Amino acid sequence: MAGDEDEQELGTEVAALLWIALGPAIWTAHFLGVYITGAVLCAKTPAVALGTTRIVTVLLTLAALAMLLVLLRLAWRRWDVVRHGDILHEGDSVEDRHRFGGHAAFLLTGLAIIGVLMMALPPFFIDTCR
Amino acid sequence: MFWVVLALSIVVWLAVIGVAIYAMRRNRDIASDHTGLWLILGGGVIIPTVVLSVLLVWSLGVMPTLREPSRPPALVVEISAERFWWRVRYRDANLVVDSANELRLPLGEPVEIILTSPDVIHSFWVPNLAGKMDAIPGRTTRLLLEPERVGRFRGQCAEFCGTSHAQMAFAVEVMPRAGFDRWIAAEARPAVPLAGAVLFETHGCGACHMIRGTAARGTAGPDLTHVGSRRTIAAAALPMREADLIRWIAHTEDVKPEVNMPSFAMLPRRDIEALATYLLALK
Repeated sequence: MAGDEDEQELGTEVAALLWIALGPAIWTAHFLGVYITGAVLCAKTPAVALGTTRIVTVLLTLAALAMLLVLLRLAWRRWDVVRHGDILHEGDSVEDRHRFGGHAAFLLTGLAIIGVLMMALPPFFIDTCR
Repeated sequence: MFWVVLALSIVVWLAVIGVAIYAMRRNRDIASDHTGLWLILGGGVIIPTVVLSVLLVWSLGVMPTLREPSRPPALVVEISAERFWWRVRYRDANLVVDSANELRLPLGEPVEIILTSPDVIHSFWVPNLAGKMDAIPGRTTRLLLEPERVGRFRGQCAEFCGTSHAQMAFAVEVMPRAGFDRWIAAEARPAVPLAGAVLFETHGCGACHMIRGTAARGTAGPDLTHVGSRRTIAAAALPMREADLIRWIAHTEDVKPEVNMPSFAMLPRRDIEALATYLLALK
């Protein structure tokens, strides 16, 4: 039985790490999507590149924001501040580690939302590929 | 843009230092969790996000105007960076003039430099005039500059391009408009007919070099129509003197390792001297 509990806890911790990494991973994918689309279109079809890049940027940004907002809500629930009435979780119980994962995921997802919004801006301000 | 960013940076710096001094001098009472939380959220998250977002949107908005020339360029110079020299072509509304390894620019006028490369990545750099710009095979890059004072400035390839990369330099001479017009008119003319042209052709130099007005029509190497008026040889590797020209023709590999031009030490000494005399006379 003890072995099962250890395995279960290990599974929870791996899940917590995945939670923490998911927000930055979506941010990375959005960054690469916008950047590579702009670079390839500007190199291949400079005349129509900006219009297409803007459309792709809007679509990728909406998709990334939708995923990040869902993740933000799930991380908030995992952090569980309202029920505990405390933002901190300094014990060494499974629940504290669970809440730590939620807290870290919440902050990183918030950062990723700001990063995605900032990355979406340049295609709307530049007016040539040069 | 620089002044706005500088002013905003100073405001932020003063605010941070001010808060730090305040924190050091205040009583050692520990602030409540609530105050601490809001300090961290406000000072660490909300204010930086708002300041950086405003700065980003504003700077993106002014960026397109920064990239455009203040006036249309008075002169376009196409430069092809090749291992290990510079092919230069001046172009304006009335003329196209080919030259090499030296750049002359009119004072106080915007000039557009268009850069390409047929072999490897080079970088065009004249520290006194502007920042670096890479010359990349298969791509065209451009650099806008507006010289503000008369003088001679050293230019240098700033991207490692091979064994003689360090000897791939050039001189830029900024001159008043009247002097530039006189120079470009002279540069556009074909070479004066000289007896040495026959020797130049006999030894095959014309296969690679162009001397306008003679039978030498090669384009693999630098245009030598007015080479005698340049101040250096082999992309600023040697000064333009007869002894150095002789050394260059006879021992190119010693001066610039892996240069495309072969050494001509097998020619009779008097022919090499005659070629050097001929090239120096091509003013």
